[in-house]
Amino acid sequence: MRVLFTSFAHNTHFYTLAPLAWAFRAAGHEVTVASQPSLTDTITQAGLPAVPVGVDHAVQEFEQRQSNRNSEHPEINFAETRPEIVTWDYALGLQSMMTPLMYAKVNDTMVDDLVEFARQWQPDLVIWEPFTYAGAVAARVTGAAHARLLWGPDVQLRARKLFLQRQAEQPVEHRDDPLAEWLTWTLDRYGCTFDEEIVTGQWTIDSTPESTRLPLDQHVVPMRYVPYNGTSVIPDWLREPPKRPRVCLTLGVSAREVLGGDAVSISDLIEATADLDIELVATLDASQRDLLASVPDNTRIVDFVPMHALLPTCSAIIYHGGAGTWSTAMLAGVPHIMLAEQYDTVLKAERIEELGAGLFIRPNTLTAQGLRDMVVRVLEEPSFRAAAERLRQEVLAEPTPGELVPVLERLTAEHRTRPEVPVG
Amino acid sequence: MKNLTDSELGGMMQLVRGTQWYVGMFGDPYALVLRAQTDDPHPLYEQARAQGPLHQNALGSWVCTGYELAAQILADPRFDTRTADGGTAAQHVLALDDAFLGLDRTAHDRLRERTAPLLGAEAVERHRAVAERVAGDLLDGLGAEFDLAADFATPLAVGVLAELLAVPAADRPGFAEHCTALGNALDAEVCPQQLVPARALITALERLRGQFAGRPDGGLLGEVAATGGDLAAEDALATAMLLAATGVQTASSLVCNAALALLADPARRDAVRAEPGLLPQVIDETLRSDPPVHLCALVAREDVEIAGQHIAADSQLVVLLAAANRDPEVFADPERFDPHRAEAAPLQGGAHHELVAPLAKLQAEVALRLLLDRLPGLRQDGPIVRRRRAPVSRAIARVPVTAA
Repeated sequence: MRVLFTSFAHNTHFYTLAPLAWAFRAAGHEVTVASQPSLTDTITQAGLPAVPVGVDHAVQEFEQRQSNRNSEHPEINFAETRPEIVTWDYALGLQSMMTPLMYAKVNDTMVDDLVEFARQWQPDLVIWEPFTYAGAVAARVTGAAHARLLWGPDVQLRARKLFLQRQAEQPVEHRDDPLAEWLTWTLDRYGCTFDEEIVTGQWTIDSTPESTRLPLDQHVVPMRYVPYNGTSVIPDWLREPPKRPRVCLTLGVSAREVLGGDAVSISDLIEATADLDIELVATLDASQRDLLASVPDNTRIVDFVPMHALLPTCSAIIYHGGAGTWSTAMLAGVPHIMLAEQYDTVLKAERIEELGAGLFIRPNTLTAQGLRDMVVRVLEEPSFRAAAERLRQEVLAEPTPGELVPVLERLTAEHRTRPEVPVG
Repeated sequence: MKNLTDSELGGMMQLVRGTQWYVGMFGDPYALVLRAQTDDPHPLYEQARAQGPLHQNALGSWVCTGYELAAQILADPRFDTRTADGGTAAQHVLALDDAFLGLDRTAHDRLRERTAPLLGAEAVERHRAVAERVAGDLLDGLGAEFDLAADFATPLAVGVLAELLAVPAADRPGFAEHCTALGNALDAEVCPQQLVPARALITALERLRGQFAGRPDGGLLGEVAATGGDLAAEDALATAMLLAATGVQTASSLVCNAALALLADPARRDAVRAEPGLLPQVIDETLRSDPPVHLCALVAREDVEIAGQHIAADSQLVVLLAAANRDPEVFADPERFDPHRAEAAPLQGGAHHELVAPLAKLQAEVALRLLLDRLPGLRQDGPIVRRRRAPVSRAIARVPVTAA
């Protein structure tokens, strides 16, 4: 069969799709990956056939400046569920802002062309990244089956469900659904109508372990997380087993901003653990490295190291909670110290702490001594490692992408609304 | 706008709405006024007032809250509905030229002069009998429980206008439907609407223009056209469209807001029933305290220095009429509804409002008098549901009343 994967042009949003795309190819299916032109090289570097569609979006600025900092944007927090906070206005605000400022921006620039491609190529199954509603639209237009593939807890759909609950409580004159409005006029361009399946997908492929999933009463098809974070080269030094407990410190691209404005600098963080009998591996880019006055003896500064190769050698990881690193750390069974505040990372950090697999610290309460104490605790108390190992076993218990292919073939046959196009 | 696809029109409005919401998240009072998610905008007006009588908000609009300054700006020819080259301010959402909402001061002066003998403050008396008949017929058809807005005030305004424009009986259902779809016209200029009502608004304007253009001699249209001159036919159409697009909602809101002010206070209600001569004061106080038009968005035609601020040409200047009408420097105890006030006349909005206001006031007077006389036990019978995205009209979508 023909399987169309699609993600708006953003490398980490695409990476989660790659292993399943490989699995379909290896099973003999035809696979394409459609995104805006700027992702083309990233897709081909993953060994997958790219279909550039539409024109590039310009959403980075909003993403970087606006949606990332929960603390600065108290009304844009997908992870928020407290009923006294998630009022009708709060829930509507999230939909009113995210629809035009994020979803429409990343989808409107590609959806017409994606639909045109799908009409011509006739996919049997469309697998879409959860922001990339264009995938659901293309599937609806062409009669293909379609599913979302998650890269973290499904906070987006949970927020949607809370919104729909609040909406149902409003007088009919006050109802307002920007996401449905936008998808309605988008589908209408191709003679199709909107229903909630366009938002949920016909089913959801979930690569997170069960104990971190949100109970949303959806059709979930679990998949083992297989790390892919771009092309990688394994450095020499990783071949040697560590002589002392190895701790990874990695901060996402926006971390310099997050921490730079606060009292605690990256330099402070590295100095905080300088006297511990550990090997600190810190991934810093050139501009972050320039901020360091000196590098302690127990610290190795690297520009980039593939997390899937590094983390199995580590005893702890200090990071901001980004999707790929979070999943890779769970797969490696390494305890987490999470400096979380963006998007879904607070929720993930709270859950990791509840599960005993690590500790959560809000960046605004971070001190150098506090971080040092956490590192010592996570290394000395075996319960963290044990809980992290339980999470690792959960990840490993799910079917691999390869094992999932026959399951998805069956679901496709059940959901596709037009006959399969014979291949070859 | 007529030529925009749903995706273009809807996408543009969602982007503006999302941006307004985003700015409101940081507490910008005027952005929150435009968000229009609350029933009572006055706390937001007070936050705007706290930023001074004239301040620039985060979306670039100048916002005026002070009474004296507002009165000065409303009379200042450097501020008008359109820029010097006929455009709109960047913050203007929909340019409803089919409703003649872009007419400039010169055109309005001409219109007002033409229509003074037909719709001016004294001239509207000739329509009193029509208003009484339409209101009476409506009440005859209503039971003890009805919706004050949907079953009475709006059909009254539509019915009176249909009589004035001599709309043929066969066209009346369509005419009523179009007029109702225009209820958000003033709101849509500054606050993006949902796509469906926005499309209904644009379509209704087009259809009504077609209806009026097809019957240039109908009632008031013919009378305005008969005033002669080069632009007589165009002015007749403008008058009819402005009455439909702004007059109907204005009259409906004024009737509802004034009636609710009376029903809220049985002593006041009984005093007015005993002394109907108080009605004009009740209506004037309603125009101050709970006006049918809350704000008026103008644009600077040139660079203006005013109130210590430099307003660049083409900037939007929004007069928060409802805030100015509660300016504590002019009105003592401004929150109190007091028909006996004599401090200052309420500010009532832009040039189009002057055209439709006398007829709206007449209808309010007729309606209140009939309601008080015929339904002495009338009281509110459930919560008021106000429309959302209605920062100008604050229109009532639903308000059940009972006379039982």
